[in-house]
Amino acid sequence: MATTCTYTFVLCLSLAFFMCSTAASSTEADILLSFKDSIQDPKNSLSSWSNSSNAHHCNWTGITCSTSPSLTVTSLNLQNLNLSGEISSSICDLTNLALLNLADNFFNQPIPLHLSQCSSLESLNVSNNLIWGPIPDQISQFQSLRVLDFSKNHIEGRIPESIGSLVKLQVLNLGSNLLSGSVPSVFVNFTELVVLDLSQNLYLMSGVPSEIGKLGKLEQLLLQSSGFYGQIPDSFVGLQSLTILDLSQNNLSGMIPQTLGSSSKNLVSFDVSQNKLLGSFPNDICSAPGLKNLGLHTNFFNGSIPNSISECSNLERFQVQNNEFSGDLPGGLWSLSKIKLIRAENNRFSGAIPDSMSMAAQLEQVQIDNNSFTGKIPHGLGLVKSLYRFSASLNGLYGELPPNFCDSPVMSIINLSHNSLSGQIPEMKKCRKLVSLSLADNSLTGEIPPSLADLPVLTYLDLSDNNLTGSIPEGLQNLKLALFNVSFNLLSGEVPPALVSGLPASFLEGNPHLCGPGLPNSCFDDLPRHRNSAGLSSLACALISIAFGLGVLLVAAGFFVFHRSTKWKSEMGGWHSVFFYPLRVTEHDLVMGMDEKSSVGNGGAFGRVYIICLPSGELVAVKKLVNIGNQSPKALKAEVKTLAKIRHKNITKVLGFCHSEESIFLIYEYLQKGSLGDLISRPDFQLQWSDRLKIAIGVAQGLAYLHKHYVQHLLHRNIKSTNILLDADFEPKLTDFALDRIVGEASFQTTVASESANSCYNAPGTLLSSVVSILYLQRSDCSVTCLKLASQIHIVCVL
Amino acid sequence: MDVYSFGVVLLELIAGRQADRAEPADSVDIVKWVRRKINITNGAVQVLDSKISNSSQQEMLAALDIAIRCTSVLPEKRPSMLEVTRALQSLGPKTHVSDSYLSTPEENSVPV
Repeated sequence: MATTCTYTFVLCLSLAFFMCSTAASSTEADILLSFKDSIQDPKNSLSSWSNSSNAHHCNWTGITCSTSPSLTVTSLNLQNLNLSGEISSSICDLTNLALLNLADNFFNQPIPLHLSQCSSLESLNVSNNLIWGPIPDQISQFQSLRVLDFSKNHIEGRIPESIGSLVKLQVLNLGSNLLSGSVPSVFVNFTELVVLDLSQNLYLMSGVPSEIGKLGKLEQLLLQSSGFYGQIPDSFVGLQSLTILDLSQNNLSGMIPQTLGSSSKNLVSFDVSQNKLLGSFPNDICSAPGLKNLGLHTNFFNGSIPNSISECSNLERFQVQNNEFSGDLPGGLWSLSKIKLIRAENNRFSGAIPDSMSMAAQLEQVQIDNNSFTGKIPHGLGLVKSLYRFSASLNGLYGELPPNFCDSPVMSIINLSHNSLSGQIPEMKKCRKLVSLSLADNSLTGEIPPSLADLPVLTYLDLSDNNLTGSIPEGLQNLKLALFNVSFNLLSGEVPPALVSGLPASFLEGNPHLCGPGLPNSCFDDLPRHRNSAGLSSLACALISIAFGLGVLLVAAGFFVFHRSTKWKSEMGGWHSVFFYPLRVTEHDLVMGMDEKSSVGNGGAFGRVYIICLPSGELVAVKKLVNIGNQSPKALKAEVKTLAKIRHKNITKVLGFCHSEESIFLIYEYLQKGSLGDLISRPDFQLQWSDRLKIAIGVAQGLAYLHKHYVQHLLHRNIKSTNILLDADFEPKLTDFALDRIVGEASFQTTVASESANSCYNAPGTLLSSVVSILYLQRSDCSVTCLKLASQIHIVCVL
Repeated sequence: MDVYSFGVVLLELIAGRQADRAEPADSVDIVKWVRRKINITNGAVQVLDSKISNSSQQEMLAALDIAIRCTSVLPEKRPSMLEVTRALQSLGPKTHVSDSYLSTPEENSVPV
């Protein structure tokens, strides 16, 4: 009896063992498949994960196996596959799993604590998902982790002290979440830590833990854009391995520990900008020879910049603007061979800009406005071929403009207004990319160079408050100018007609001898004399144009070669782009930035809107137009340019656009407050009457401007509360205006109709829209008479 | 057509509700809803957003009048946007009028 029993027991046991062992050896594939079962995979990214496929599971998407001692799964990399659903703990049955990367997906759940059962897990990355809720105390169970990346989620609450028991951590990234409260003093435990990122947690209210300074292996300390206050701990001089320190955009006060530079010799980036720091420039910062980025801007620093800055031979970005610095900007800074960006505006710097700046062969951008710089504009300025912005307004610069001052082939913004410059404006033929030229409030004399009219993208021209004489060059009316300000000079003669009637913002006053329509003087008295000189000038004109034509041919031949090579680059992937502001963003950046997460609202029938962060840190709103008609690229460009020229405080600025065969991206300025429609539809909508009246008046002004003042008498045609954006002071700005001009009338009609068959915003009756269509046809070739006729009908029929 | 749409937005601001979200009781658009209300005694006051109508009733009623003219069925009865702008500005406090009047770009442009 007993033997039988024992026998059966042994049999049972061995059977169970047998089943168990087969399970362990054969089912890594099954474990993966059961993990897949709980995941939603709309793009079928995991299609290779299947028993029916012939591939071994080690060859499935995202899986890496080790080969010794036996073939077994060690890493699972499922980044950016549009996955959602549940992160099942079944994955922990993979006993050798060391790395789990689920970043850039759509997992919407609390922190997956159950993954602490994965006993071998060393690296857990769930960055950029929709993870929410607090970090639980049980986070301490992830004992084996070396890399913990929870960044870019919606994790909230305090950082628990228990996180201090993860003593093996090398990377701790909790950036871009909603963490709050103060940071616990547990960092002394993290002796292995290399990267610590607590940045962009707006609700943190914490001092900077001084024991961070004991982390001798720390290379990256990223605490920017959070609520850190108090002093930068003196202990930070112990961070000997530090390469990147970013403490910008906090509430830090006090001084920078003075020996920080000499102790952290590996520093590449040092950024403490946008705090409340004071004291002097960190004198020994160049003891770190590899320093590329130095950001001290928008603080209360004072004193001068030491000459030792010339030892920062790798420095690329130097930003000290908005402080109280004084003294010279050392010559050594201006001639650093790798420097790209110098920003020193709004300080009390003095002295001259040295001619040696020509040695800064990589220099792209200089902004030194609102200081006390004196001396002449150096000849060296024109020798820097990479410079695209030079802004030195509100200084004491004097002397003549050097003839080469605009010779950089990429120069797009020059602002030398409010200085004491004299002499003539030189011919500017080389800066074909110049968008904005301001020389206002100087003592310039002579004529406006006619060659300005040859600069193809010149949009803003401000020459006001000088002593310029002669007439306004005829050719300027062919430019697509948005601002033309020549007020308060000594100009004379007839104003070219398109400069009076064609521009949203033309400033001509203060020139008593100018004449023409809309000005106090009419030109009729001068008519006979004008004819005489016309004969003479046409002869001169012919000679000049022959000479010029020959020159153009030569230049064009050279340009053709150059242009072909650049054009190929920018048209890669069939994209064309036109920017009305120096956005410095590529089509690639835009397309990459436009994903589900950056889109806001439903965007309406014309397409979605995406909020994109440019490399410069600025935010823009990009509208991706769908249902586009078949406008030719040329017509399209002209229409968007028309829209971009609209300048009114109640109309959203169009910054640029990109288009391919399939779609158009319109780039608008970004307004944080959202739309009036969003505001009204909120259940807790509360707004005083004075604010509401302000909104109504602003919208009315914007529309009146479009209807009457803007030269082509645009109609908005899609007014509704969701197309009225609000800025911080409830100043409204119209958006989505006149899209009919871009998508074409037919597409516009069908799109608006499909969105709202009987939208309550549309006036009853269909007669109107057909009248408008007729007007648009007439307006497409806009002779002056046609415009007048159209605008009369427009008032009677449409309004 | 912009004037009509503007009138609808103005009604939204006065009534404090979105145009395309009609009350369940009467599923008509905001223009018809307002027209029905103002035809009954004291109806116009009922249109105003009750959260703020106590303090600024007179101005709101004047704005309502403008909104109703903007949403006239016959296009020729609708005022121009310039007329609307002036009418709205005359409602606000005097300082506000001159401020916003000066800060529009067209007022600074070509001297006439």
